[in-house]
This record gives sequence, structure tokens and C-alpha cells, in this order.
Amino acid sequence: MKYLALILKSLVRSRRRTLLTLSALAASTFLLTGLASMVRSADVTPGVGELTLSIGGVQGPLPSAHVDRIARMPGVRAVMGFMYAGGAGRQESDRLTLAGIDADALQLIWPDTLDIPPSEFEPFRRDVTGLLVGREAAKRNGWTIGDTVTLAVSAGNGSKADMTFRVHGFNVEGAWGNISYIHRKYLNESIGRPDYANSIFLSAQRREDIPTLMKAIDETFAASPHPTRTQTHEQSLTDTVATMSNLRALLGGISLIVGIAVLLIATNSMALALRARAREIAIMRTLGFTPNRIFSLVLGEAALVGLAAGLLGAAVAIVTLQGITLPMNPRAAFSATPAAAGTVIGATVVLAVVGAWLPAWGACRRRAIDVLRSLG
Amino acid sequence: MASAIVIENVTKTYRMGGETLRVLGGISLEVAEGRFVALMGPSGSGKSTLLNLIGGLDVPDSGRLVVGGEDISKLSEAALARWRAANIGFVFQQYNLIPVLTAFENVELPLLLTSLSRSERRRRVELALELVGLKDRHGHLPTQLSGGQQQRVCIARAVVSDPRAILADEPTGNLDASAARDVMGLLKAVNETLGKTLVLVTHDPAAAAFAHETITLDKGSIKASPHEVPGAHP
Repeated sequence: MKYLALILKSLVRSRRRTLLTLSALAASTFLLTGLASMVRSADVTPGVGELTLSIGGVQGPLPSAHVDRIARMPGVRAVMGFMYAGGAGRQESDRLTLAGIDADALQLIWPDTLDIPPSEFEPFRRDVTGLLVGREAAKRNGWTIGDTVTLAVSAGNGSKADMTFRVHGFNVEGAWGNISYIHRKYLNESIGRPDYANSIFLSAQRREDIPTLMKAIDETFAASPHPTRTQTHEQSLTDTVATMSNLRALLGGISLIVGIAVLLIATNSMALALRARAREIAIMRTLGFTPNRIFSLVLGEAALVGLAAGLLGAAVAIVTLQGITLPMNPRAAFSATPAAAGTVIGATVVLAVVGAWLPAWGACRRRAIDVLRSLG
Repeated sequence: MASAIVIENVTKTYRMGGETLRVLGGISLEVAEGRFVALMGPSGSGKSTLLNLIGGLDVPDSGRLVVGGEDISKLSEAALARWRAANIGFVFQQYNLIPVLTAFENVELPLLLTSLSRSERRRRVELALELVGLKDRHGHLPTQLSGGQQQRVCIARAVVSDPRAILADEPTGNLDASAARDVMGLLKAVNETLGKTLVLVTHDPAAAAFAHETITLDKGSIKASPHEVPGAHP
């Protein structure tokens, strides 16, 4: 502790340099915290029922007529069209992810992932303007059951509409909790695309029906203008995992580059600081400070800057990065978490110390007499 | 009287470019405990090099160097640093205070290397600053002090850890005559009242006149044997 005052004095000698270094490291920490939280959220893959198939359009959205036709196929228990849209709340920046669904089929399709109480789901099912709002959006906007909210909604192809909803409940389930559910029918009519779905989900009656159903569905629409690609839960999951793996690799690569930047900032900053303090280090050596002691003080200084920058960057990240939706996986929202922030703060301190290592080592090994002689 | 400094046949050479420069050529010398010795001589005579060797800032090529009873000629860099912290106080021509530290903090700096408590460190720093007449300036930064005051802070820093010897390299070189006289009077008082062995490097005969004896170096050798300075206590 007795050296802390000395370290702090050294840090404030060049306020501008320290501030710039701190800002650069804090910005990097902010970015790293965001990336680390994103990587963690990418690990979360919502499950779907064992009997669930997903049907995507080979060339884009599918017409609603497909939903009706599939519903009539033998072995189908329930079928649901699914339409993604974006909604803006009170402010343009307050984005919601909206999932237009067919409410009658929703809980049959995903029985293992939705745990919305009947007291909330039933009023939603009956009201075409109903909204089951995602937990993050509800928290941000302070919405409660019974509220009427108007959102600026936009879907693919630039379709837009102002839509008014009534909040009937909350979607609080796991990674799906970022999604706000609305009725697809209401969405399609409002945006002027009444007969489209981004994808279709169905629940089979029996597991053994699945291969036949998959074949039948894709064959039925093969010759139509909107051919389909039907996947099982496992296939869908494999695709999701592959996408997430690519995403994780990308995020990891960016994190590595940011980490290297932190290292270089720390090295450069400490090299400049130590060059300016060559005489003082030599003086301390004449007073009896050993090279190792001065080395420790310099590394302590670097650690303190790293810690301060880490805390600042991580705090800003935790406050500002809340409920952000991944463009590659709208189902999984991410928020900067204290766990990711803790890891990043630790990494920033380590990188700052490692970055300071070489210049500190060089400065502390120079003989005091040589420095004093060269500086006059 | 016991010897504070024993130098036996010490040599030192430097390599400058491709040439080897012999700075000290087999010097032998003894300084008794509590004595005040001035080293004089022209530039390049080796007096600062000799002072640096005595202070453990440099190591001799050959010969033996015993300071405060310890042979320091073979000590490692770290061991020399620890030895300096306990045995030597330096006073420099350039003052060499840390600019971001106050007078108090500058004086306290060597005490950070000890196991003294905070309150004990404070007591000793206050005593040292009182000794040099700067107790009321303890919160001032070096830039807020005159040259003479900065040199007095430097002297306080040199004595605060109660070293065996104080080594002063041209301590009056940057001061006007009046301030130089004050600083030399202070060093003399430190030598007499605290009993510290004091080695002074100077070009200034007026400063050397404060010493008990003067040794003159020329071209790396002792030109004139130690001799008592007449009227050494002005």
C-alpha cells in the first residue's frame, strides 16, 4: 500500500497520456465485453419439440396457402406459419423482435419451450391485436398487462406499418424471452402482405410419420413457384450450431484482434511514459530501489490502468448493451453480463501488464549511472 | 579512527567508440569515519567516477572497494541497490528530485524501502526537513522551490535514512554564491552534528574549503596526497 501513492503520482504526471490510454483501453474493454457476451449468447440454442419439423422456402418466403395444404396432410398434428418483423418502441432506437405466429398452434408446436401461463396466453390467443411482450422489451418500456402500445413495425421488402397492440402477457422463457409474440394474421394484413410466412413449423402426430411427412411436403411443392425444404429438429439444430460456430469463430477472431490492440496500446503507452521518466527511474535506483522493485512498480501502474479501464469499459457495456438481438440469430438476444465483464476486466489487466512488460524490463535494467550521464 | 572508505588499487576503464579510456588507474585511498573529504581536479580527472564507485553506482574493473566495512566491488546490481539504500545518501548537482512528488514525498522516498511504519516515516521526514530549514515547505513541488531550496530537499533526502556516508557531486554547481554557501554550510553541519562521512566532488575551491581535507585527482590518479585544508571550518 505504501507504494500506491507513488504509482498514482506516476499516473497523473501526464494526465493527457494517461487519459488517452485509459480511454483506448476502456473502449477496447467495452468492445470485448460485448463480444464475450455475444459469444456466450451464441451458445444458447432454443430447443424445439422432438416431433417438430421446420419448413423453409428454397427461394424465399412461403405463401400462407402452403400452411393450409400442409395442415391437411395425414400425420400432421398442428401447423403454424411464422413471420419475423421488427418493431420500434417509444424511441426509434428501442428495437423489438416480433414473431408473427398462429396462436392456436403455438403451444402445440413448441410445447417444451413455452411456459406462458394460460391466464396470459388465452386472452392473447383470442385477441388478434394481442401481444406477448419479450421480457427485455417489457423491462425497457415499463409495459404491463392491459397496456395498449403502438409500434412502428417493419418486415422484409421494406413493408412498414404502425400497429397497435394490447399487452396480454410476457414471454419470459429462456433464450426465446427476447421475442415478442404477435398474431401473424394481424401482422400480414397490417403490412400489406397477407399471404406470406418466413417459415412454417409443424408438429407430427407420431415420430414414425416424420420421414414420410418430410418427403411428402417437399414433393408436394417441388413443382410450385415456392418449393420447400423441410428439416427435422436435429437438422435444424445442426444448421443453427454451424451458424453459431461460424459466428463464434468470427467473434473470437475480432476479440483476438482487439486483444492485440490492447497489448500494443499498453506497450506503446508504457514505452513513452518510461522514456519520459528515465531520469526519475535512475534517481530511484541511486536511492536504493532495485531493478525488480521498479519493475514491479511499473507493472503495478500498468495493472492499475488496466483495472480502471476494464471497470469503466465493462460498466458502460453492462449499462448500454442490453437486449441486443443478434442479426444472425434473432431468437437469441444478448446482454453484456457481469460474468463476461469480469472475464474481460481480468483479461484487460493481464494484457496491460504483459504489454508493459518489455518496456518496463528494458527501462529497469539500464544502469542508473549510464542514464544520468547520458541525460546530463 | 576506523576507516569509512577503503579504496585499494582501483582501476576503471570505459569503452568509447572503438577506444578504451582509462579513467582511474590504480587509485588507493582511505577516508576515516566522520571525515569530510573534497575531491578536486579538472574535468575528466576521474573524480565523479571515483564517487560513483564509492556509492556503488558503478563497479571497478579491478581493485578492492570497502565502504562501511563491506567490500562492494563484487556485489550484484540488486545487492548494491540494497546496500546503497542502507548506507549511502546522494546529493546531486541537478538536485534530481522527482518532479511530481512534494518535498515531503521526495524525502520520504528512500524510507519506502524500509520497514518503518507510516508514522515513523513521517516523523523522520519532518525531522530531516526541519534540519534543512524547509519544514514549512513540505507540501511544495520541486518547481515551486528555488534552486537552493531544492538542493536542501535533496540533502534532507540524503540524510533521512541515516546512511553511513553522504556523497555529493558538485552540489553547488547550479547555485549562486549565496545559496552555494548555505548549502555547503548545511552539508558541513550534517557532517559535524550527525557525524556522517562526507565525500564532496567539486571544482569550486570555496566549496572544498568546507572539507577537512582535499584530494586532487588528475588523469585518473591522485595528484596530491590528502592534505588538511587550512581554515577548514569557516
